[in-house]
Amino acid sequence: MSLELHGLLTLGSLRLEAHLEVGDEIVAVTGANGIGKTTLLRLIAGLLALDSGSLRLHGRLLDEAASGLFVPPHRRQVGLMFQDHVLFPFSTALENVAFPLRRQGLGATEARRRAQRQLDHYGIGALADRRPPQLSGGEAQRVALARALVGRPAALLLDEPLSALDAGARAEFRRLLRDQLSALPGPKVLVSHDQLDSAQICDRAVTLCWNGSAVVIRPAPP
Amino acid sequence: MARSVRHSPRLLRSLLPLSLLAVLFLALPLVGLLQGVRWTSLLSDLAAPQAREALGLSLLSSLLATALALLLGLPLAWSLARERFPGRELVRALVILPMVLPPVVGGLALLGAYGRSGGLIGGWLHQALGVQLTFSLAGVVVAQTFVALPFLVLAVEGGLRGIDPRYEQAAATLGAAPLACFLRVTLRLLLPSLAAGTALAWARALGEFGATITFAGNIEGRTQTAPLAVYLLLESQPAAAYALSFALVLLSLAVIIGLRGRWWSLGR
Amino acid sequence: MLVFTAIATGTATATAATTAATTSSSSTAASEVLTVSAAASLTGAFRELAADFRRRHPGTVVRLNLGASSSLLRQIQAGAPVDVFAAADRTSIEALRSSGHLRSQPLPLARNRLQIAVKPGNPLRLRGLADLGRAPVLALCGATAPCGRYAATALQRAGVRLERSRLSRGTDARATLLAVSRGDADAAIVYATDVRAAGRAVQGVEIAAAQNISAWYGLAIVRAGGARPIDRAFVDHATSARGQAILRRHGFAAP
Repeated sequence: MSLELHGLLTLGSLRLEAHLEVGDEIVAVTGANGIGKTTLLRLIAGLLALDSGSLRLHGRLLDEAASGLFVPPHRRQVGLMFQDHVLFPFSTALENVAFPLRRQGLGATEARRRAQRQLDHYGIGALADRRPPQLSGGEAQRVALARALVGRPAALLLDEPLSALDAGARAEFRRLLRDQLSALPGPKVLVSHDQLDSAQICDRAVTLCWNGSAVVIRPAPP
Repeated sequence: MARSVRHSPRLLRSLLPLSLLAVLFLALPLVGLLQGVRWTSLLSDLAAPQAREALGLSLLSSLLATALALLLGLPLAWSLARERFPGRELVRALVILPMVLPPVVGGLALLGAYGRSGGLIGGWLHQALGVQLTFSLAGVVVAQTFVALPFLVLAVEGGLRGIDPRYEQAAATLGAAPLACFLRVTLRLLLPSLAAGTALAWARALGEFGATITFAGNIEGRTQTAPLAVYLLLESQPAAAYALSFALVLLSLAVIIGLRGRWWSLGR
Repeated sequence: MLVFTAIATGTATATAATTAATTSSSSTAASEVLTVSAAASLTGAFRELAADFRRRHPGTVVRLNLGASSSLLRQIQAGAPVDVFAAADRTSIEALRSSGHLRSQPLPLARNRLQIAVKPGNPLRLRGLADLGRAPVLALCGATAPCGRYAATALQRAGVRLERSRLSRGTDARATLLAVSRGDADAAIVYATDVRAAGRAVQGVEIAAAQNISAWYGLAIVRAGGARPIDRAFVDHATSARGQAILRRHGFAAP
């Protein structure tokens, strides 16, 4: 398995007993509002640390409570797409997409060239010079996806990528997600409360539920 | 664009004319000041040695004080906004203190700390390092920094608190190491408050009077800044005093207006 | 009731120059308010004088506005609601005569002389004006304030010329002395009465009589609406034997 998570996290009143293995596939995570879906993604991304257990990606240990080993988010190569795009407001669409490339050590010119190509590939090349406030919800979400994928992360996490979109933009973005995620090797985890989204984009689904003493991950009922 | 609908009582909306009163209250003294300026000799009044020296000294010292406030204030603002440590509220109260303290008292406090004779560490500074802050440019800068620092710290701390942490988290997941994240994301988001804080601190340093005259003295060409010169010239050369006042108002206005157009709009 | 009379019009000096000495509760129904602008060097003497006056005229509120005579003069000319003006020089009073602000003939109040104030123990061993060349920083009153002009005269008589880069100017006599008593100035030229009032914080060095000046203090009624009996009573009190005794106790000489 590419992503192996076996551990426990307590955060405030939340107690999450996470056992999740994801291969080269797209897994949907469903569950009631506020049960801890976003927390699960933040744990994998490295924005939260395990209290016990371990997390591996492609065999590499990212987080191990017993030994105290913890790889910080910027060294994990785990992409995370937030619920509402979280594009940098001071940068253009192009600069946003070039950001991860620059962090990988690419020169400014090459990073911009690659970022432009990525935007073209997503059909939004003409928006390169716009800043986030000048983009529609659907456009911003496309830029965010382009930014999350341009650095070829080893794993990708998506938090409700469709919830901010209206019905028209939603269907279109769903197709784009399906295509782009399938083309990216590695584990992909998508949080969604929408059955249709999960069904159309993902290979399988799991659900978070309360078992009386902790929140656990179970295969979703078909 | 749709028209926005306000939901406020009619009574409160009638406050608009009253707010005009506040504007008048602030604007009238400015007009009064302009009325005292002798326009025909404005440039020659400003070019007179005492006025020119004082203005030059004010510019130099206030810029140095602003730089020092940035140097000292940024780490402090960061710690107040982002770190948890015992006594944090106490530290914040301490930071605000110079804002509400009468400047003369601030000057006396500075003497108590850095005065060559009778200061807590002033004697040591003088003996061990040969540094005397009183009656020197350095002393002017220290006095101005003392009163300007709170403005910078509070503005930057507020700015840091206002930053949505998800921007920094997104940067991290996109491969930005902590330093890159700070320089490329945090600092950029902070820029409007940083600019506002810097401008406020600079304006406060430029207008400093009480702490400066008490701590650094009032030596022409050495520690006599423009506000001090205004006060002393008022009796002997009122035209020069008004010309200097006008220059101070103009300088401050230019910075405030310049910043408004540039950074404050970005903050929205 | 005129309790919050705007005294310090436009001038808030560095020291506590605008000290309001309220000598009676402002809630007294029939109280009359008397605002006296006095030279900063008169601070201690006039506080006592005002208290003594109130004992003689119960229900009267005396407000003291203290500062450099030149500043006080400017305030009065700018329309500050002042009733009585006690100046440290003739020039300030005469300026008010020419601007038409005097409501009574000015009366002589006291005389004063200058002294050199030094740090306790006189570490630089200054013996007179001629030694001031050895003081790294000398504090003087503003060049237009009476004590500043007197000091200039005395220095000139002693033939002492000092570079301006060593002269720090205080806003009035008391603020100037502060630079020695609390600050790092090595010496100040102020009134002998100021040195005396500062107690042990400073030490006085006499200036040779031939070089020293004799400062004339006078007072006059300047009330815009014309003199009231209470204004005249205050002037009479200050110039009476009783008032003069208070001034003597604070080190002032007879006018």
